[in-house]
Amino acid sequence: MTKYRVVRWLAYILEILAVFVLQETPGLIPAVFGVRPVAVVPTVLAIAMFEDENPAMLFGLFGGLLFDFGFGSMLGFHGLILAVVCRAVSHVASDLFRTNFFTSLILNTSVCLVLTILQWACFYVLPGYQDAGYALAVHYLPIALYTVALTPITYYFNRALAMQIREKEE
Amino acid sequence: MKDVFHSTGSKILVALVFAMIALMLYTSNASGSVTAKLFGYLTIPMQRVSTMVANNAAVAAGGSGKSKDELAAENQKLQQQVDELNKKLVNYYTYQQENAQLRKFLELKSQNPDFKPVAAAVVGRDPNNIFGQFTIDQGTQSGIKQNDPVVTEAGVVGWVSSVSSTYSKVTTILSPDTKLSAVDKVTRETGVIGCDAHSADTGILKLLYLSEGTKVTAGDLIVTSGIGGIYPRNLIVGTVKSVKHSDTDVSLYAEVSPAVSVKEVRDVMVITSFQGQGEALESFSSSGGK
Repeated sequence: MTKYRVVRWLAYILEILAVFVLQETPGLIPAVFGVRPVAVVPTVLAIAMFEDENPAMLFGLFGGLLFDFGFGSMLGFHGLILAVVCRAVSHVASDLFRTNFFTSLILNTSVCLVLTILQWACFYVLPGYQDAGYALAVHYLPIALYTVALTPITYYFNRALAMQIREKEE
Repeated sequence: MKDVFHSTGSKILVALVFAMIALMLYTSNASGSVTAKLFGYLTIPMQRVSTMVANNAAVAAGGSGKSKDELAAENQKLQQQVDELNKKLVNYYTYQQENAQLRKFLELKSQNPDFKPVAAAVVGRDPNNIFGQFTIDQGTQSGIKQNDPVVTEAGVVGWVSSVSSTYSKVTTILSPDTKLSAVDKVTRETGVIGCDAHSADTGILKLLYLSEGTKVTAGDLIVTSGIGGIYPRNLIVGTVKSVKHSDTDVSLYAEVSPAVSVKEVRDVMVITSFQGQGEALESFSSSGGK
């Protein structure tokens, strides 16, 4: 393991922590029509696009566990999903797709939609809350949309970070 | 493809899947477990700092920025002074906020000698929680327990739904998980305060199960009844806005404007002890009602 790889991984851990704190701190990320984005998700997905499968999976797990902690849900729910998804994204980005903004946007949109539907089903519909359709349309989908809208920031930031450190590594 | 499934990474992934499922089974909520405590120790101090910075950002930004072309040395000296004064100003506003908070704390305490309140700051609001659940920076170390009521000097905010050593999660009165016994201060009619996704959006509560001949009218003050042992008596919940017929049965309900804007509140008090706390709670809480 090279020194630069350790530096890169430390940078990713700090990035995920910083993004989580930004996401959770009241009033830091502006609310649009009352919804705020889940910035940790596009961050770990962007990291996964530029990392190998195993590190991508571990960063997904870390981001997902933070997500669970902030949300107050079962610890491990989002951790499990994001670990699997990030490993898959890393595999797809290295072997099947070209890594560019467009593919990043497609992957982010798909993951956010699946995650939103799962979250809505497990934490809104299953506990038996009323107006499930309304909650999906007015809260869950707008949150997913706002989260996807962060893709340019997370993609280009992590691309720049990965390229900077990889250049030095080579 | 065969290599993909036999690789070390795949084995790690499978192990991880089982570990996560075990973790989910071990803890059905994100509090109390060792992992949650670790995350709490890691992130709550950071969230506390970032919240303080966010709260004081406008103040801190106000005094910076000086011309630097003329009299560089003097400018540097002045800049130092500005920096020092800014720090003092940030401290001043922090102390001012604390002072105001303690005054309210004292007021509440003098009005209710049986209360044991703990002051806390809101350090986290998760974007996924649509009913305004938030995290406060005090936990069991400050004497906070699960189900303790959370209030401000203006009225009820919610209750502590989970607690760890250094932080607690608060479920607000806008959540459908909150069922609160309340009484109209004018007519003395009782009902249950509840909420759903529609009314939570507009920030309006519902006083449910009013009888057909109800005398509750707009402008009436709604307070806690104290029944159930979760909330003390006579804490202000809000003011009646209108009275409407229920969509599902013959009863009526009153729309209540809450006294506290729970989606924006920044400082709260947790009442860790009060007269009548826990009475009738054991039989009541088994049904999940609050």
